[in-house]
Amino acid sequence: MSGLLMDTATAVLGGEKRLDAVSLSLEPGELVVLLGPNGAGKTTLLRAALGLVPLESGSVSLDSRPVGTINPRERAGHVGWLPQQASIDEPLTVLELVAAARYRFNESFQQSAELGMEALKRVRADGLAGRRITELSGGERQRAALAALLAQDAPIVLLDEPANHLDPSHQIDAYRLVGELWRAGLGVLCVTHDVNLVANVGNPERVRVVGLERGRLQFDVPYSSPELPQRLSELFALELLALEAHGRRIIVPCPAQEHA
Amino acid sequence: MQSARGSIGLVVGLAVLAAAIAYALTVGFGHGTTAGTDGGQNRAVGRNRIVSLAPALTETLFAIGAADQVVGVSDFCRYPPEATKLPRVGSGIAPNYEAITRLAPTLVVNEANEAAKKHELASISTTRLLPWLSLEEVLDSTRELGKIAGRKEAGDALADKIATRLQVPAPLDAPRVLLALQVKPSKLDDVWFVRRNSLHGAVLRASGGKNALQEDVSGVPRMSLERLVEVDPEMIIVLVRDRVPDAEPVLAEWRKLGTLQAVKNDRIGVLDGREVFVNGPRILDLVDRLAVEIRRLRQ
Amino acid sequence: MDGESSFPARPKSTPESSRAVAEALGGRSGRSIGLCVASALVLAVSPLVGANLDGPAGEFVLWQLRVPRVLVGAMVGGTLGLSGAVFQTIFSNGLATPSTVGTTAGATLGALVALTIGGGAVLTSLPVLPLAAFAGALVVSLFVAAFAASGRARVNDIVLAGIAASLATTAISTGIQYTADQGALFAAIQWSLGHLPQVGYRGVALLAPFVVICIGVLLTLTRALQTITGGEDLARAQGVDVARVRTLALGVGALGVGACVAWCGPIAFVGLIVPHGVRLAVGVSRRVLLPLSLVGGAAFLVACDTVARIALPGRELPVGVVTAALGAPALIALLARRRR
Repeated sequence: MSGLLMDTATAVLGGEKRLDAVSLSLEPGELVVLLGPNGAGKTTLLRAALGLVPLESGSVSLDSRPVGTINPRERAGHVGWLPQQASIDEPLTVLELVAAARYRFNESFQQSAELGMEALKRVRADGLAGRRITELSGGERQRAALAALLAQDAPIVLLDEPANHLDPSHQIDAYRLVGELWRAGLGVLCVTHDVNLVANVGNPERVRVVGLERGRLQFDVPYSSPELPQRLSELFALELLALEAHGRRIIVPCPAQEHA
Repeated sequence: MQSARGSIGLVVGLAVLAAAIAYALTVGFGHGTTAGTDGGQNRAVGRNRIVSLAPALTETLFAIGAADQVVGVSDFCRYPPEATKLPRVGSGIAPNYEAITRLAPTLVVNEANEAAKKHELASISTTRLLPWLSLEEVLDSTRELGKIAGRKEAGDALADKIATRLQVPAPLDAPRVLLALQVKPSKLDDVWFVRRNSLHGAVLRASGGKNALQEDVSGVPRMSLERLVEVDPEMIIVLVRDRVPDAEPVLAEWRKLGTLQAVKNDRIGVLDGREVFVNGPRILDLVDRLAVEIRRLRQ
Repeated sequence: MDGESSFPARPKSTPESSRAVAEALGGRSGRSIGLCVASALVLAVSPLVGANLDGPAGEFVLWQLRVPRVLVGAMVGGTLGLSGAVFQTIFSNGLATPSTVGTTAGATLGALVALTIGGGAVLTSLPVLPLAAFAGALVVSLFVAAFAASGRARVNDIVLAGIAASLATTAISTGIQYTADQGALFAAIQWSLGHLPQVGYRGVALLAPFVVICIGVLLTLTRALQTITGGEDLARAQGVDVARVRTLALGVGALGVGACVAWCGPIAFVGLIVPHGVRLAVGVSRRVLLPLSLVGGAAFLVACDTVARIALPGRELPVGVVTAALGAPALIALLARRRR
């Protein structure tokens, strides 16, 4: 297969099982949303998919090759990663940062910068090119980071809470961009806390939703599946309601009841 | 991880490569370049232009009547007074190459030690490094300086004079003396001392003292206070470089070591002034001073 | 899925895109050129500063004393400036320089061991001293790097580890000096003050291979280092073999710094001040920062050495005194200006 394949991957970090026999596949053109309570192992799963976490057993392969045997530069051509917003203290310009994401290509800086500029245009952030990354707002930073991901030009991308720390309008914005990446043919694995944001990617019925708890996969169902609210309730150990608004399903926690 | 290990191998390989190239290149430069001075011509008419980088050598050159050949001295050469009027060219361990070059010397002399800039000086002019630690070395080097300066008789005479005064054994009943060195009156934490096998060691013998440390010491002549208690010299004479108009503060510091027999018997003396550290011909004056002090303390 | 939004596309470079790129990055290139010109001027003029060069000795003074001295100063300053900028990047810490992460201390220890054990033989043409310094520098830097790589050490821990390693090696160095004999002691003390004076081109020939290899390898890492600036994990995902880049940078850094320390003694401040000054002047892009730290470091040390040469008539200051005296206030002034 041409995408990402995790086969009963188990990872132990600091004596604790962080991934427990996780099997998951992701092909280019697919969008998989990964949900789970805090500490469920979502970020570990992404890092394992990149080969940055040593596995106790099982395997991760990219294009049918074990990820550990692919050198980092080549691997960057298979899979890209948007980590949770990390603070960058260095006042690099946005364009420098986006161009740097093209490290895997053997090309001149000028070329990297021009293609980086294209990537910025794709996320409608070319106006930020000359700004310093340290001076950007959270939403602008996320756009720059997505542009970097585009500039890296890998068929599979792993997004770790792309809407984290953003206000609602920027959250929606971010997921529209995710949808654009997806429709452009990328395979997207996206960690989120808010399943409703998935509605913003466009035709969400083709999205797969995967639940992870204590390092174990709990379910892998289509977004449109009627059993999703029930599965999510179990996952978060919380009563969830499925409401309808403007013809769309919204899944929200049940308001807490007064104690008798 | 294995990529990191591979990189270490690569780095070590690069280091070896760099060393090999450096070796190949320095062989070409290893013997120094020749100076642009016309030393040869000067030599031909028997007129040396000598730069001296050590006070003892300067003093010796003046003592053997070669003053007119000395054209430059180190920053530390203060004797004789005429020498202080000559151009200064840095110190033995940090020579001012530019100043030396400008003097167009035919010869640079310095005491031999590892800090002497042999290669560099040799590129500027003929360079002689003369050993100057033990009495024997000083005698040989004094004769050598005489030869170099064309004053062989004077050099030999000076060496003979020094040998006559210093090449004598200590008397059988000589007291066991510790000659301690201090730059200025200061707190006593450890002790710099005069070695038996040094020029000053010979001075002590000639002044009628026996070195409290009978073994030959190599390395820095420094000992702990506990070792001092173990050695327990009969007499302690402190050589202080700075003038101390009142010896009392220096003595008070030493008297804290009440367990020493030298303290109990009040046999501690102080000799002060730059002359006590001199290692040129004036060292003979120190013999007299020291002999007087030892005699005084024995009573 | 419309054609316009399809990505990845393979855009060609057009005049507009080039212009847009130039605009986004522009503004600082004038300063970069200015810095290069100023540095070149310093290097060219330095040999002519000082007592006049007339008379029969003039030519010798110029070609055998001053020019080699400027060349060695430029090589040492350039190496220290560049490795300072590189170390700040791989440790993502503005305080990380060869002297704070223990490289200089390790080199000092290695060189002192060679000086005291090997004695005079070390000073002959065999490049034992730089190799010994390199070995010392490599061991200490790799120790600090291993510490940095173990677990999730915070950057401050790395500098603390470097300081600990520096203190330890300095103590051992002092101990070695203490047991050395007098000649070796003098040699060691004088060497540890840092000095550039020399006669002829032996030092140039000895240093050049080490310095060229060090600078060459470090500059090839520019792209990787730029990528690491955006975050270590992200750089890994973008294809940078971070462990390899770090080891290689530390290793060749140790090689270059080791050789410089071996020949000239530990010269402080250059690796710290120069990259800071350069980044304040032209920004933090490693593409510009690294080469200009190299050029600026060369000019800075040569300028300091020229001051050391002429400050006291007929005598010379140790160059380390001047780098500290000129460098520290310069750094404070630059920081104050940025704050305003």
